[in-house]
Amino acid sequence: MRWLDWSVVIVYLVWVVSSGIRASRRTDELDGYFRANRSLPWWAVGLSVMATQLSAITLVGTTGKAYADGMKFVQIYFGLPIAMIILSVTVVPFFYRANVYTAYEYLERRFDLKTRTLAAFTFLIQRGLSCGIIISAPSIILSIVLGWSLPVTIMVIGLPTIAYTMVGGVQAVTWTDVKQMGIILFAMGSAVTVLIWGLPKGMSTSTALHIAGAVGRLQSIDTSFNLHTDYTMWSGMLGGLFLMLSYFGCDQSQVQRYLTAKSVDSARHSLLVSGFAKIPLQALILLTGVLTFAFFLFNKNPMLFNPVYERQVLASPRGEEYRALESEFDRNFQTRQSAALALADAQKDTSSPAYASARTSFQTAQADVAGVRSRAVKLVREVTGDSTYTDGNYVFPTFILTYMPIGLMGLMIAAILSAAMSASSGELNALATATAIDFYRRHINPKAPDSSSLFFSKAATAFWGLFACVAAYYAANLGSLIDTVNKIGSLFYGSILGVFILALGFKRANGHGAFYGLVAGLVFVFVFAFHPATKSISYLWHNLIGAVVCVVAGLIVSAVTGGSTSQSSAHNRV
Amino acid sequence: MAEPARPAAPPAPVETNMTAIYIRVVVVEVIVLLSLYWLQRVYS
Repeated sequence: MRWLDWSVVIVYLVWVVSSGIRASRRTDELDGYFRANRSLPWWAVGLSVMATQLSAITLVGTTGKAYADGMKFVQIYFGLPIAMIILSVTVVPFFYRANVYTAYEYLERRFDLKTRTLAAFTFLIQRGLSCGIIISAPSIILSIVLGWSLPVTIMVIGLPTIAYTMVGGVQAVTWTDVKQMGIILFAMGSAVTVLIWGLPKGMSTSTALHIAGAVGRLQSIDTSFNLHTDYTMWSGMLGGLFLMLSYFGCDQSQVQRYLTAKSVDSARHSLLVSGFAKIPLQALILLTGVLTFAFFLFNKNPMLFNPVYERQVLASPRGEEYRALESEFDRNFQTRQSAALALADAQKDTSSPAYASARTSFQTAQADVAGVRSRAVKLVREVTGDSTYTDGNYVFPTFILTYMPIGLMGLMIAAILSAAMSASSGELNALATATAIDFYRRHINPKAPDSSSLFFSKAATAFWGLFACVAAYYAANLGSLIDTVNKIGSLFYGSILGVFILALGFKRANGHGAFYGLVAGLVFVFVFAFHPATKSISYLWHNLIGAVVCVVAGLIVSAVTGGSTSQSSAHNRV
Repeated sequence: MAEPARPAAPPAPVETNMTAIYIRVVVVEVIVLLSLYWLQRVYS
């Protein structure tokens, strides 16, 4: 990084923190701090909803996945637009008119205190861990760029986020999210331009995509019904639907976003922004990963993309083994490059035998390169002891640091920081809100004045920020980060969704049913996810399974314990 | 005798036709999925 890049990053950090704090109005009242006095326009809330979901993992992990596996990951979002419609019809008007601060607050009115507390506690644990993973992705990149230790880079990201979230509450979070989305979109556009610019002279983007497509990088829809495959159309449509229903409908980090909208319709519109734009945006990000693959066919890349592990292996007794693999990789890389150029030439007539031959040669050459890389990853795992190491997370950062021009490199780093900060600020704000409203004001100090609750909320923001920083340190070696955050979420989401289905859909469900249904759902999903016989089943199905188990168990317990309790009359009043 | 002037009626709240927006969301999703399928067919 050169001085201009450093300047861009520093200006970004100062600007985002100061503008976040300045954007806050009337944050000395609870309603202003937690719900922005229900004053925010739908488009700002809609962008904030998207920014909270679009983390640095989305930029770094997803592009890495597309580089290695193609675009299949997009299928996880196939259920999202339908989920947004279902939520707009059901949950959004319900929460909005219930005049609640947290989604879990409603559970006490409908069921009882223990159900509310368990749901809120589950959210705190799951989101606290996820927030850590969200911070860890850009921290890894910065630690590679700067050569600093991971704890230092985690703090560089975590502290500014904690600062503006603590001071400005949900308003600071929303307005900085809007700006950060702008930076991310501009930076991604710049990256795509540089990737296309880096293709060989005379080679069109279409030809580059044809070459990438020859080795499956454009495969985005898998119609097979295989429970053991992570991403298929069906796991996305069904498992993904339940994942999105739970994430956007029952997770405080999203519910709090649309509670800040001016009206019910504004809240609906803000969710539907994601319904319209999420799949196209995610497809474009994955396509950037595919273009990165095409780019590295013609521009030299290291055998493995993590220079720290590379140095460790080279310094180890097995360094010679690694060097031999590197020589083999260099030869295979040259062969693959020639094969790719030959395929580009043969592309002019796809019906000719020369095209079929060039295509086969390229596929063989790509398999050879992948084979060497796979052996190198195995060697790294054995030498470093990091058994979950995946190279994908380092692909896009390597491109940024090696090939982005001066100034734009700083902008890309600012975009990755934006993504991390926008996602984690929303979550910190939600974690603090749930801690203050569902625990402090409910269990510890029910008569607390607003000033005391606000002070506690700010302290809770700081606590969760530091908790996330610690979790980020340990999350750095958890394999593909995008998978990790979704896998952790899927252990909890389905069961929490089940509780809300019981609350909104079944008048006969009572507090005992909801509580034990939630416990049953969580226990079942945990056993299912880690049992040797079922652990290979795609985690997306955990969302559906958790919801079904929770609802069925909840209804059985409700029937056994006498049906609807007195609290359920509140169902009709809200 | 002339009727006393009545206060102006408050403007009717603008109702959004959400159903039309929901249909648009579904249409856009179908178009996007077909585009991805086309991309897969043409470039593979």
